[in-house]
Amino acid sequence: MALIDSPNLRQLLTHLFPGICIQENLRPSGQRLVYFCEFRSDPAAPSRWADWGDVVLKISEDIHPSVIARLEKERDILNELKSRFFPTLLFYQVFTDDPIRDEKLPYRLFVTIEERIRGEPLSSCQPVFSDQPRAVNLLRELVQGLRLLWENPRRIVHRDLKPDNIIIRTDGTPVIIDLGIIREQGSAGVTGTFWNIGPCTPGYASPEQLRNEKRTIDFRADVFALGVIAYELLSGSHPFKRFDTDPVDVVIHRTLNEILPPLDSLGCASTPLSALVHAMTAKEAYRRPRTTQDLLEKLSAIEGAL
Amino acid sequence: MSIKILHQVGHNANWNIDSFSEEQCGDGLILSPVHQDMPHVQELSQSLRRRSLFDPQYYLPNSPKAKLSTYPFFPGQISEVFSTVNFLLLALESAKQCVEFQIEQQFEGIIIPARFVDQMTTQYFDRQEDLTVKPFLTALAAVGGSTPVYLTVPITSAMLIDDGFQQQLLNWATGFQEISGVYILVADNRPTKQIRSSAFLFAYLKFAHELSNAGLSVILGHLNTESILFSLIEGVTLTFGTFENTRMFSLDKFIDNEEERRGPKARIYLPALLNWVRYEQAMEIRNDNPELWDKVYTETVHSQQAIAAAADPAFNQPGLYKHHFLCLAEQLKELAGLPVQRRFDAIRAMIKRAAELHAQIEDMPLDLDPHGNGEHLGPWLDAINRFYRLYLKS
Repeated sequence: MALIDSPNLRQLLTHLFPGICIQENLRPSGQRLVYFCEFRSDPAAPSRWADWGDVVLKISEDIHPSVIARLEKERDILNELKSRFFPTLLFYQVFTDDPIRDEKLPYRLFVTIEERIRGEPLSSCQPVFSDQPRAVNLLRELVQGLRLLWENPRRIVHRDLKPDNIIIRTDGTPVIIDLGIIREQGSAGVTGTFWNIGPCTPGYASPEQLRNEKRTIDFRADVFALGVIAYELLSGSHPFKRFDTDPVDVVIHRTLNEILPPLDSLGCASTPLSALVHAMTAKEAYRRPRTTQDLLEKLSAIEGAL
Repeated sequence: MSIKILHQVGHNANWNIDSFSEEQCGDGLILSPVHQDMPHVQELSQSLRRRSLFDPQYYLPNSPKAKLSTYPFFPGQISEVFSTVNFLLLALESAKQCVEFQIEQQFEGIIIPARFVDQMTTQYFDRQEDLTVKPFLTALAAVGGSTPVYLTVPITSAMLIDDGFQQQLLNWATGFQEISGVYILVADNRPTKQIRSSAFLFAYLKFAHELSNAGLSVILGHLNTESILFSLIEGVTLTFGTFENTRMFSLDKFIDNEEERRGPKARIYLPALLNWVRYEQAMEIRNDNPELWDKVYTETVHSQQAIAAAADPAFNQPGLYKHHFLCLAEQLKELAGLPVQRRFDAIRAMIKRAAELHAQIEDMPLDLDPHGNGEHLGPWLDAINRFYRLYLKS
């Protein structure tokens, strides 16, 4: 069951986190409630909390212990990353006790607190990146960030790249958010993230994700999503979702079956860039760029020629 | 385009070494521990090792072959009693030692070995990853370096012909950023020495083409004369060998078979026929129709000596194999120098010409034995025509 923002929940949070000031309840992310918060100095709280300042707090409930164990490993990886491309993970805890009633909570609460990135999601500023140099530069930056996941010995895949999950800082640099920390949590979410076929967002998810071919899902699924984002930026429209009202199964059908018109045929990109985006959005993973290095080299060459 | 040719070493490794070192035939060797014990490999010259690869041959991990047991990292050696479960515990240690050996010996690249699994299920991938791929990648990450890394992909012809499974294989083999190439071996259980299935050949060509297109160096192991067809793959590395068990991949040579078998009949490679012909039948063409013989035969120093010798050559003498190396290398070198369209045209013309010559032999009349006749040529032509139509034609 999804959590709902309520006075009781907010009261619980203020007891769990002395010094917290809940500012805004954002759109839910998957099964999680998301709040913008600020931490202020409070004698009942560890002093370091006040140093966090503005944060993003995500909260969810009823997670299976095996999932928690996996998430703890992913948390460690995130802590290792410490990169400008990802928000810093400040806090992570599973709560089982209700400090107000001094009794067990009826469910486990899983809370993460991340650095709040000042900027706006790519979904709100796509036209800024519609020209080729900016689009290519953005792609190259994103690949630089994602390679920290892809080339990690654990071979991490984001699996839910989309414009909503890319924040553009005020200086124009991207930050990738919503790493798949609780991606295996449950059923369909409310932000377009689709669970029945595996954790992903139809429209950006690769064919292998949509077919739930777990063995095939690797970093090239993220490459596919980046290709879709690039196509959307350069052409000005989503390649698989023509209207907001398009049913999910139509979007999935198009993703699995439709061959996209090359961007150069639409006059939206140079031939090399069009060819690269075409390869990135190939239906078969083996036809997409095979290594991060290869992808970066191609992007750099295209960028140099623009 | 560059095509490399490696000797697929087998019994009598010296024949390959002589051909490579003394006649500059081929670009290097794929060493074979089932045929070469560890001290012999270590004693090879450094210059030869630097141009060679070492295939660790984990295909049958509990193989009792004596020479394999001289390698302490071989699965059947590192664990007292081999079992998959036991080996899982020792897989990383085996990988570390095997990687260390390949680096120490300064081979041209490092081969990640694989077990031969003939089941077309996801178990294929799970087993490869658990037993070798992941342990080797871990071991390689620990030592670093820039030596090219090749992933062994031992498969069956059925796996290639099945489109769905081939796609899974492609997705899997292209999914490791750490590797720079793949070493493919295909077991094809057939009664004939030549491949007569156009479906298999087409599927194999497509597989190699897709891997090459993905930016991987493609080494095709255990090839027979069909290597001519595979010269259509850009940048491919082809292989040739002496005995048949280096030209057709099978687990048989890893089984300790003590049964004494009669050796195969001696055959000579006749380049214009694109086939090996039984030696005594070849001599019938030579003696009874010299004009036709001149069309099908290419002379080398080795064939000249064999023909001039008082006794007919036997299968266990090197001359006819060395003749084969020289002839095939020359054919492949000529093809490699052509752009792809002309290469395709040339191969097509070679096949058609071979079919004509086979017809002339039949008209002599002389019925070549089933392994030496031209029945493979039709399927070969079908396979490359289809491959060209779907993948090469611009």
